Amino acid sequence: MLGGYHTEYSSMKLGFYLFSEYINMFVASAVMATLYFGGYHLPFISGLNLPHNLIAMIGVAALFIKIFLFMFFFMWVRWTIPRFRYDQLMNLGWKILIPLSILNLLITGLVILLVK
Amino acid sequence: MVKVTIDGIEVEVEENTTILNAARRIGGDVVPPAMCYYSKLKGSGGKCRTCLVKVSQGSAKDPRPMPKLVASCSTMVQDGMVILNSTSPEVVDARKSVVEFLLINHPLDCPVCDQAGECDLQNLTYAHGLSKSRYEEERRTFEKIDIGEHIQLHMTRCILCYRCVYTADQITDKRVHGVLNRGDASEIGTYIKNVIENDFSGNVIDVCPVGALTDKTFRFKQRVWFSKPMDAHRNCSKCSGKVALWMKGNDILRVTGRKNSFGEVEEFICNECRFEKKKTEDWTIEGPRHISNHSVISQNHYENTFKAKLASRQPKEIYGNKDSAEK
Amino acid sequence: MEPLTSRAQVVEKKKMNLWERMYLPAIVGGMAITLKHLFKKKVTVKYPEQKREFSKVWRGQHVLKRDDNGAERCTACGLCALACPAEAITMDAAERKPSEKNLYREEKYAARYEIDMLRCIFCGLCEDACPKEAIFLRDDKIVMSEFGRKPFVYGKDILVEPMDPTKRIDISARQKKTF
Repeated sequence: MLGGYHTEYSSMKLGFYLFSEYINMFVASAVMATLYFGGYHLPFISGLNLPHNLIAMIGVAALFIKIFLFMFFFMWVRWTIPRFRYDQLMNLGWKILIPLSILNLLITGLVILLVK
Repeated sequence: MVKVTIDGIEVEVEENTTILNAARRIGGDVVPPAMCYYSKLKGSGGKCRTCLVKVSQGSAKDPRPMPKLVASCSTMVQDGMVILNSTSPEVVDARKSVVEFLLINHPLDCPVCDQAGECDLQNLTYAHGLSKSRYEEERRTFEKIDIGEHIQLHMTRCILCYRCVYTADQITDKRVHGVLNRGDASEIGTYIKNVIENDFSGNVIDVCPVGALTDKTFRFKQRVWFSKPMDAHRNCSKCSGKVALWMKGNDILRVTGRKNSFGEVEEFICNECRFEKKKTEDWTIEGPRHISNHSVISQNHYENTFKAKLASRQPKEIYGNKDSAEK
Repeated sequence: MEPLTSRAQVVEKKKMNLWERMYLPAIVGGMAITLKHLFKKKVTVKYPEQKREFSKVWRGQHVLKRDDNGAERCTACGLCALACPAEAITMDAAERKPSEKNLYREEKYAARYEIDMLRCIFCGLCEDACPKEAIFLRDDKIVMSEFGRKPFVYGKDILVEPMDPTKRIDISARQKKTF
């Protein structure tokens, strides 16, 4: 039920573990937000003719909001399924999610081919 | 030899045996309780009335029942006698009343009393008595009397069974202990508050069915059920030296005679063994004493289960039938 | 056999279809539940600052009561220690001196009375066993945390209630045993 280090470590050592875990979460969220969700871009912001400095500030805020939304999503999943049974997790990953992503790749390729 | 039936169980005993002793021959639930009778004290019995039984057939020659309940400790058996003890509701009812009478003046200070846990009156009350007292008057009290440095006398707890008086008369050679006054006012005393000096005077503690006479060296040391009884012996010039030690850890808290299932000591022990030898080096310890598992003293007392466990764990021969395994 | 309650349900274990085997709908459903709880009233309290009200049957720290004259009720009879399933109670008895009559009610008293709070399971059997109405489990105080094991062995200095009549610990609700 427990990760080994949760019981083996205490005080600051456990603190470091959790700290690194949360850094990891933050970095992963940042990478996802940057690569797949447009980083500091907000839709329709360029059509508003705002001053550049303001756009930059809104961009920074937008990036952080995206990061925090991802982190919230991580935590939300953790609250809901604190421990996914491992065989079920494997089933989900290999048999459901990978076929789904391959399907996604095919459909996207098809759409791009047809639209062009 | 005469044949008698007690609670439907037939037993053959010698003539001039009391009903109580005939019942003790059978043992178990058939035995009437006795607060004053003590087989090792001549003349004891007939005072407490707890051993009352019903004789439904006097003898084979004269089968009429006895008109009243009789004290089994002082009634002799006759051939063909039929006796009812706990199977007769009349006896059970009478015994309940006797317990109530015994408790009229007995203080309810079991939490303070050192006898609690091995007290005959406590057991009797538990088995036969009411859970509540109906007595409203003031109980009799006495001035404390000092009867020596080893024995504590609580006159308030005395039920006047006279066992200690007979002990002092018969075991010791001069009479130093007796009952003063009469009736309700009677009390156990020593003449002119004499110190009991006899070597065997400590046995009055063992014969006392209640906590009226207790061991001063054990006074308030520990409750009896927290100490472990062990059989032990030593070479004693005065007595047999066979005693029961009441130990806690490696400390000997108390030394008493070995009591049998009827609460009577097997042998009287001397005061030196009882009061002065309180070191483990003084004794050769034989092992834990058997305690009935109905007694509170049996708590944390594992002698039976331990032996049984040990027997079931005898190593079995595994390699013995190697040949048959190879076939 | 008759079911013991009407709420018993027979569990069916049939093979899951593809939709169920994907787990995703179940996970999404679960996440909806967690999200719903985010907006519900919190069930937890901020303990040291905020305390819940104790129930009347709450069994907290023990107290050794004195009688109306201020004498200790406990006579070291050992029945609490006998009743204790955790063997947490130990005591030594002593004889009362004539000058101590106002301190102890009976001629015997507990010179040492210790409860190991680490062993204690707060079952309240000592309270039931006590023939002198001396020991009670308070409904207003819980045993506090400590940094070592030694301080958990509570002696008479902690357990016996103060002699001062204004500082007596009220256990009348427990004495009545109306619950």
